[in-house]
Amino acid sequence: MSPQNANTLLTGVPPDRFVGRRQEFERVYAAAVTGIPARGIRLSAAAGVGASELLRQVYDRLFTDQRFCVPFYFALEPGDESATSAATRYLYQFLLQAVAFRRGEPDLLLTQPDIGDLSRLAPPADADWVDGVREILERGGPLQNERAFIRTALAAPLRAAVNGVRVFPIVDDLHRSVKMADDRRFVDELVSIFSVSKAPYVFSAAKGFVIRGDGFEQLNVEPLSREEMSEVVASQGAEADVELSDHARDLIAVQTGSRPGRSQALIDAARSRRRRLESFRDVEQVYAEELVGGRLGQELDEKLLETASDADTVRRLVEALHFSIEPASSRFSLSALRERLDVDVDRFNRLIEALAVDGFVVLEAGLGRLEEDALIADLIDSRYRLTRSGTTTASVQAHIVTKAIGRAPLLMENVYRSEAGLDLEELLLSFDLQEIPIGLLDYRSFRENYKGLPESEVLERLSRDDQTVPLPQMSHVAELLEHLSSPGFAGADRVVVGVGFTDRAYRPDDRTVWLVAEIESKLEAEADAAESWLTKLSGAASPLGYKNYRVWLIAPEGFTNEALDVLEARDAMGSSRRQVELLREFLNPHAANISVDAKEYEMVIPAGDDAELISAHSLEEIARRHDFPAKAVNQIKTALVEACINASEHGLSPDRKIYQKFAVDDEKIVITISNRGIRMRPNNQNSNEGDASERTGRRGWGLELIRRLMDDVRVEQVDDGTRILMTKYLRAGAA
Amino acid sequence: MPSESELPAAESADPVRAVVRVGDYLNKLRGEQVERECRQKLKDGCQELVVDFSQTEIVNSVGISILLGVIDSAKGTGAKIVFSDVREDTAELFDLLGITKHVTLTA
Repeated sequence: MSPQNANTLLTGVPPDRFVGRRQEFERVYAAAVTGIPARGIRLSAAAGVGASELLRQVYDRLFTDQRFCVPFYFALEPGDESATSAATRYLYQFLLQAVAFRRGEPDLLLTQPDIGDLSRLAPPADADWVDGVREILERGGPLQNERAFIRTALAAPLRAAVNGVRVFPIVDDLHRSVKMADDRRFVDELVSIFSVSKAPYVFSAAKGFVIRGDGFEQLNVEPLSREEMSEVVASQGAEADVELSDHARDLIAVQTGSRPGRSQALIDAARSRRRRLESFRDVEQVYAEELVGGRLGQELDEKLLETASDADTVRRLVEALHFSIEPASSRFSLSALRERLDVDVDRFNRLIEALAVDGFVVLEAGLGRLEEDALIADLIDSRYRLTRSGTTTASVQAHIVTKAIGRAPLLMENVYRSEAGLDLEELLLSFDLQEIPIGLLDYRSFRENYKGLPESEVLERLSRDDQTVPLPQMSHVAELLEHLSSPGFAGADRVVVGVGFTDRAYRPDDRTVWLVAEIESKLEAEADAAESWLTKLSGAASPLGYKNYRVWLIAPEGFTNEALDVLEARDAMGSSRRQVELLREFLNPHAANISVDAKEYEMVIPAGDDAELISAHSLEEIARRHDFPAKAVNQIKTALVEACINASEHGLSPDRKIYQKFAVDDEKIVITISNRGIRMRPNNQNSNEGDASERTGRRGWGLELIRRLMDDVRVEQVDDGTRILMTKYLRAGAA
Repeated sequence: MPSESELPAAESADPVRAVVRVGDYLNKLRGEQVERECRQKLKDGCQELVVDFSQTEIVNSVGISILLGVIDSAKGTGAKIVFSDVREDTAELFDLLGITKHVTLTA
């Protein structure tokens, strides 16, 4: 079941451009058409990630593609000042949508006929209950009392059901009730009314907003993945006819926190100003303009004003929150904040709850912190600076754009590292008390028995290995950073903590904790690296109260014997990346593997799988056509292979592609190798001293080899990734 | 295009002299295979380890760095290590990197 038709009613996004959310869509749609489960679905999502768009997509599809139920979508709006006004609008919308659906006339949703017309338009079969609803509305307000009116209005879909008309209500943005005069009254009455419903319905609200009531099915809508959000941004760019490079697109996807509304604002701004978005600088310039003086900033300003009620309170709030920006995730006391705002307790409670559901702050046991959202931090920073005397909009914009440009490469680098990581959380959660060959965990055993063997033989030997080790069953796995706000060491984002049991009896004594870290090392990791990590992790375990835990370190090329001795002495484990990949395959043989898609000549090859050989042989053909000296061909081929391997191994390219250009003239060839991803770090690249054989470090000298083989080598750091230009002069005296 | 399927193989039943073929492309995977074979031969008491480059068209720095480990292992056991049938451009590369100081190159 996928959105097929081009009609859009409530949504502005055609179904064929709606990205992701397949499972969530199917679940809600299935509940609507089947009537199962016969209870409410509580949909929860962070502000702005697209939950409302998902629900509107479902509504559109239900309206156009089926006749089992009447879809009804209602969302609280800023103009709903009280439960009564919201209920009045709810009732009218229900009548409008029901009549439009029953008549098969979606245009009615646009024309918004009045109550009398709707009553006349209702099909005869619906006349009784429609007239009943009309009477409620025409009386223009509370019947005997306000509460009775509200309850009667909210129960209208159930009244229709009693008359044989099955309705599927979707009530959205319920968290807005915190800003209503009567607070949660609308929500509480709604929950009470629908608690007796025998048909499914959806109540949707921002994460953190509590909907009191039993028996809900929970549906959490997570932010789109980076790939999905990039697809959204690409689609928005194409629709707006804005030139958008791949790396600018991905930066927008990441920097907007996978929030389509924000990316749309940036794209719209670029279009209106006729700007291209081809570089990080282009993106950040538009971003700063939009945040400081454009739609993006204005929408957030309106939310703050709506929450705080007056400009003075907004100013005090901004000032207080500004001091929470650095260090990141620093917490503030709620009582201290209330004092600074100088508001009474009731008003403060509503204010802070509204800030939480709108995604400005996170509340944790009497303390608060700014949401980890660069845009929110930049908003607060810019608004604070604007209140300072002597600052101008232009100077604040300049501050924001330079800050954002400076942070963009690291922001993307962290994303690429994370995407290239081993997904340790998923791996640990697949542990289920299995017995696995020791060679999959212990590097010493792997190196002795399996390293260097073809993969098919490795797996076959593993299956025959009778020396095994038991895995625990992990009940919870999370990044260390989720446990500790500040673990205090670099690389903490590649550490996960798994808590579980070693036996299905689940006794207290069976509890186990694993601290798993992916560490960097060009060669087999040395003893001092192992020691250092054991110390770091021990320091992290202590504040978590973990006394008995196991450490598992994973290094790309495994560990030296001395390092393994260090690990064994502390009952820790050391594995290579290859072992972890084999382990994943061993535990889940049907898991999908990531597949890798391959006078001036340009080519694009996939990173890895020895694809550099394709480049090398293409170069041979180019050389033959241009009559290169044989010696030069061999040198260039070797340098080219090194450059490709460098891009493949160290680039962490998100698209797994290496881009190459060969420019040949009578005197020389210039080869450009570029890849998206991590920028190559400048290091001591000018040393041509010493032989490779004399070095203590036996990896990482590919670049030096290139420099020795080619006549000129330049490494350029671009916005997103690295570009190497290599020049070889082909004729004597040409240089 | 060089074949991807060739595996290094050890020839000769002579425990004192062993030959290990590199194959068409000395990369990380091939390097590890060669290393494994060489270490086994040295462990078996080989006194002269011949690494056959007759079919090797391309080498990369990762493969070479693994060979340096083999050279160290051979030194450790007192064995002689010979690189045979190395192409001229590959020999120049080895010379550039100083490897020829530690091994014997033969045609």
